[in-house]
Amino acid sequence: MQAEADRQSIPTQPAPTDIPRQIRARTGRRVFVAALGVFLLLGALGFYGVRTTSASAAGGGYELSLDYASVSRPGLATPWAFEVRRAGGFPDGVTVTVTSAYFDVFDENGLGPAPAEETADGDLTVWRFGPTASDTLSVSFDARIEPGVQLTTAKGELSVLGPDGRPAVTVSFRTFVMP
Amino acid sequence: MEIILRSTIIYFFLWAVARGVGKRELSEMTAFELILLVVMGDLIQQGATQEDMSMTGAVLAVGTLAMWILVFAYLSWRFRRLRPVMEGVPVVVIHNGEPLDEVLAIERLTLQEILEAARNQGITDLAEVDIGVLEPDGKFSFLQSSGRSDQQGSPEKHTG
Repeated sequence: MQAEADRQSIPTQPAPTDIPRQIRARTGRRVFVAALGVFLLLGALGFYGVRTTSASAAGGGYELSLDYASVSRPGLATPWAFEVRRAGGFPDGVTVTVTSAYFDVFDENGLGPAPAEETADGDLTVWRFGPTASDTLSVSFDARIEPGVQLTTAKGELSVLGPDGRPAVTVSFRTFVMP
Repeated sequence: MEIILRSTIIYFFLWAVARGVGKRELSEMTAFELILLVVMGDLIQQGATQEDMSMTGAVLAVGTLAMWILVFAYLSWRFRRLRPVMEGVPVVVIHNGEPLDEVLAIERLTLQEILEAARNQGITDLAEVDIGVLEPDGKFSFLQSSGRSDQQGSPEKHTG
C-alpha cells in the first residue's frame, strides 16, 4: 500500500490542442502536396526525360538530320539516330564523324546498319558507310544511359564529310542526364 | 509519363488486393506472408520502374503512389457514400456476449481468434461484451457493459 502511495503520477494525456499550430502544419502539408503535384505533372509531360529533340542542317549537297534525347535518365533506352540525304544517292559511300566522348555515357548495343569501316581520330569517331543507291542513309544507335551516370551533360557534333574530306554539314547536340 | 501510369496501375491493383483479401488477412502477418510481402515489393518495383535506375524515376513512382493515397483519403473524407467501398465497413462479430457465427464464417474468423483478442483486452468472459467489432483495418474493438471500450492490435493466427 505504501509503495502504491509513493508512485509518481505520469499523465498520459497529450498537450492541449494548439489550433494555430495545427493550421500552420496543414498549410505546410498543402504546400508539399502542391509541390508534389507540380513535380508529377512535369513528369507526366516528359520534362524529366526521355525528351527527344531533332537537329538538322544542310550543306555541300547533303541534308543531315539527327534525332537525339535532350534529357534522359540512367538505365533508359535513349534515341540517337541520324539520316543523311543526297540527291542521286551515295555511289561512293558516305563518311560521317561524331564526337567520341558523347558515347561515354551510354551502354552501347550497336549501330545499325554497321559501318563498313570505323576508325577513331583523336576526339572523333569516323564511320564510313558503303555505297547505296538510295537517296537516304538512315543510321540508328541502340543504347541506354549507363546506370552510374547522372547529372551529366554529354555533348557532341555529327558531321558528314564532303569529297575533300572536310565537314560538309554539321549538327550539334547535347543530352542532359537527370539524377 | 510511363512510370506514372505504371505506378498508378500498381496502386489500383494493390488497393484491390488489400480490399479483396479481407479484413482478417490485413491485420495478420505470418512469417510466410511477411516473405510474400517482401517478394511482392520487389516485383512491384520492377513493374513500376522497369529499367529506370534514376532517382528521378524513384521519386516519380513514390510520388505517384503518395498522390493516389491523398486522393483516396480526400475522396473518402469528402464523399461519405464512397467510404465503404474505399475503406470497408466495420462488422459486428459479437452481440450481447454472443458470437455471431454467420458473420464469423463470412469473415473467416474462428472463435479462438475472438477469444484471444478479448483476452488481450483483459476480458475474461464474452458475456462482458456488449458489442465486438471487426474494424475495417482488421483490428477488434470490444464495447463492454461497463461502458469501457477497448481496441486491440493484430490478432495472432489460430487454426480451427
